[in-house]
Amino acid sequence: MPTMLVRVVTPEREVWRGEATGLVARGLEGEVGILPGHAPLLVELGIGVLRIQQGDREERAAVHGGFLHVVDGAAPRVDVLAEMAELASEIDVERARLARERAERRVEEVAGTEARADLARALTRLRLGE
Amino acid sequence: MGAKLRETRRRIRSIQSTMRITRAMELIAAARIVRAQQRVRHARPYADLITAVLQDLTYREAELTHPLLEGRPERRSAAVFVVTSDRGLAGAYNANVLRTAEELFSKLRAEGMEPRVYVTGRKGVAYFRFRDRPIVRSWTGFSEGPSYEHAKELAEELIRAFVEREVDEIHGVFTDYVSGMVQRPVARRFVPLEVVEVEAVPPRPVPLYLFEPSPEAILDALLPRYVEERVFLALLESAASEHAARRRAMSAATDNAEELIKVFTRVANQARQAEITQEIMEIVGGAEALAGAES
Repeated sequence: MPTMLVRVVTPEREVWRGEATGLVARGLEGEVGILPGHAPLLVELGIGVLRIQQGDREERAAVHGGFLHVVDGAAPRVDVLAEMAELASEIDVERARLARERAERRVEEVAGTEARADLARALTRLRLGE
Repeated sequence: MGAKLRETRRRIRSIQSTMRITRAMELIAAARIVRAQQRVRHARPYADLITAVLQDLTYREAELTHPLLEGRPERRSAAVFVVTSDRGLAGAYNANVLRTAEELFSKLRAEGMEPRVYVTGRKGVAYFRFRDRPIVRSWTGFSEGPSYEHAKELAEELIRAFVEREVDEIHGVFTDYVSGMVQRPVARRFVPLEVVEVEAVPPRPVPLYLFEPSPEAILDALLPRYVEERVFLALLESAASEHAARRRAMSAATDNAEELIKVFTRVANQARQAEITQEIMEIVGGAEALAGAES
């Protein structure tokens, strides 16, 4: 089975790196699926779950905005540059739950885009963490 | 005990307790350098990859333009953000950064631009306040351990000033961590952006490249991230340099204290011997006087 090198990095650290057989990310305009050998691609990411497939195993991470870059050539790879990213195992469910409650209240009160983004982040974390 | 001996011993004790403090600070700073260096290392992959993305994008879509990439024909003012430390006792660390900043101010003025000062770190704020020089904005409290959030806040403010034409260029003055012994204050231009090359892009047929949403939209989102990343690295490098400068300053202070203790111990011994000699002479003199009176 062909694989590709996948790296998930944030400004503060490298969150994950490894060989993968496929991955699915949430782009601004919808889900994006990448398999080894994909044409060069640059996608802006939204807030959502990143799924990295390794055969029949799957690694999942909450990714909050950023870019997905498919590089071709001699060493094909996929770079996920996220502003924030956490693996499912790293998510603090209790904190995310509190954040959800806070964000829900704020969305009701002010309905601003920032509050909505906070809510989306919390919901993504909970989807993975629970 | 004589006054001189007492006084000298008091000074030795005082130097000893100062030395204990400087040695502790030296050890703390040494531990923090390691952590700060680690953070710079952890930040590198993202920095390299976002640079690669930007290079790819501007290389393949050469006709793309963006205000952050282009110089303005008329440049009247420049934002300069100066990275200093919150605490002192770091040797010449802040003096070096501020001197480099002053040099940049003169250079900008010579080019007809008025520098507008943005400062991080209490020491820098105090420097400009004391001289009654205007600060556009300042941030304090994170010089020893900056997070990406701090860099983002700073970069957003700078980019806003640029986009709203309050300033026509953005410069940064910070300290580059070269090694444990060498930290170099540097002044760099951040906007208009020069994309730092990670590797030469080989001339090859441009393959079909897909963008989602559009190249323009991605560039719009990417450039601010890139500036944030540059600012973040500047803060991290400066933090590592601050700890290194403090470790060196405290190590020198500890050495000085040891030297002083040696000198004062000698002085104290001399004083003690002089006292003993004095006492013996007094006793001998007294005994002789008594012997003379009896005969």
